[in-house]
Amino acid sequence: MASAASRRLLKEYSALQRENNVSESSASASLITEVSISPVSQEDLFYWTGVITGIPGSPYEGGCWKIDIRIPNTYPLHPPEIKFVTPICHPNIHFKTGEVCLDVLKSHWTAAWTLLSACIAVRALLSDPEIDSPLNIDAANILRCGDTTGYDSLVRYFTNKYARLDR
Amino acid sequence: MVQDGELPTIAVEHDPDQLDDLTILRLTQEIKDVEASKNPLVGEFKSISVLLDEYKDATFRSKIKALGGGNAGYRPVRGDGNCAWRAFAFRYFELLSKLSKEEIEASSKFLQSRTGLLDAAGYSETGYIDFVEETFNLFQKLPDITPEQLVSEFNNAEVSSAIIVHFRLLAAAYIKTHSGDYLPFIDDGEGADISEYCNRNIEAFSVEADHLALSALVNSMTTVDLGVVYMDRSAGEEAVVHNFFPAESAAEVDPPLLKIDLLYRPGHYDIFYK
Repeated sequence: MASAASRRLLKEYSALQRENNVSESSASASLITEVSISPVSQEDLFYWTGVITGIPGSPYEGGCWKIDIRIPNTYPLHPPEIKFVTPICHPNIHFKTGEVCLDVLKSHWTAAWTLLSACIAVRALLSDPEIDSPLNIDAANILRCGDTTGYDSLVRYFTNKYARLDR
Repeated sequence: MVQDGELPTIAVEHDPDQLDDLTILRLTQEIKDVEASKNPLVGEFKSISVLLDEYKDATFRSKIKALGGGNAGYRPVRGDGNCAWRAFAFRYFELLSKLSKEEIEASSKFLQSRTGLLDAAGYSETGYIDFVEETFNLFQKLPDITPEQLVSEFNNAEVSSAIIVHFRLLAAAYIKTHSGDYLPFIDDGEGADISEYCNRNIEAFSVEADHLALSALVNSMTTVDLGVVYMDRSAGEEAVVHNFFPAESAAEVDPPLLKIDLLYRPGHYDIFYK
């Protein structure tokens, strides 16, 4: 299995490098600035790291979170494990461990997805929390009460505290 | 192995009150994996009389008897959530392996042309190419393959999983590119999302095939007629057969049309031989 995984990771890596080159020359770096990922070392394609930025207009705006991506030997049949390294306040992300609860990263993973599309899904989760399967119960409870003002300011507080780009 | 009256060891490591969703999901998967790994991915052909011996229930027994005697039989496939897909894929290649070199070539070319569906549905080539290549690697081996070699190819998890993903993506791509035909069946009254439906029910590895998935698979291949024999406790002396015919059939006889039969027992598919 590991050989199929390496083959695929190598393809994803070269595809990302091509995209990076294009965006550097044409300055149309749309996705790259929203989510950027790369292997920690070129020697080991099974461990990547990346940065996710908050969607403008959301309480995560201006934030910038470091993520950790571990890839199993059975990838892409099984999903990569994505964890937040920078603390983030979100109902489906564990505040201490950074673990993400998103069905498409667990039981509903699709092998046609790439590491980049997985990270884009995680970014989309930020503005679309699922309050029925919380890993951060306090954040989920505030949303459950319908207190979006309170929720937004809590998120904004933690974003400013840990994840400001200009920090 | 678990003895009667003894709890599986994974259950005692965890306090039932402390389980979170992720742990429950992981433990459920572990139990399924342990059960599944007791059987080969694709087993050997068995006569229908073997199936008859498994049942005492009169309804089942009369239905099994009505399936036919003589050469009728079935081939068990591992119950890991991919059984319908694996059964379909194995039988597809088994039928092809008995055709002439030219017919295999024509079938391969035709299936290759269906890769366009994946692009039309918006899948990235990086995402699908490895799986598609695995299917055509097997096509290359077909003209000289022995029945034993084919079984062994399918028991190589890397090969058969890749082919399953390829077929799952084809079926999902068909739904995505013919959403008007499928939307009425997917809509639960609160508005339906085709892409989410495909993600949850078709693309996700290890998720059982439903009626819609099989219909989409047959439509995406266009060279296969599929019959599913429903072996359940519903009334009647004979099992009900559901037939799936492609909505648009491939041009005339080239490539050849194949007939695949599956045997369905609630929650599981095996391959059926008439």
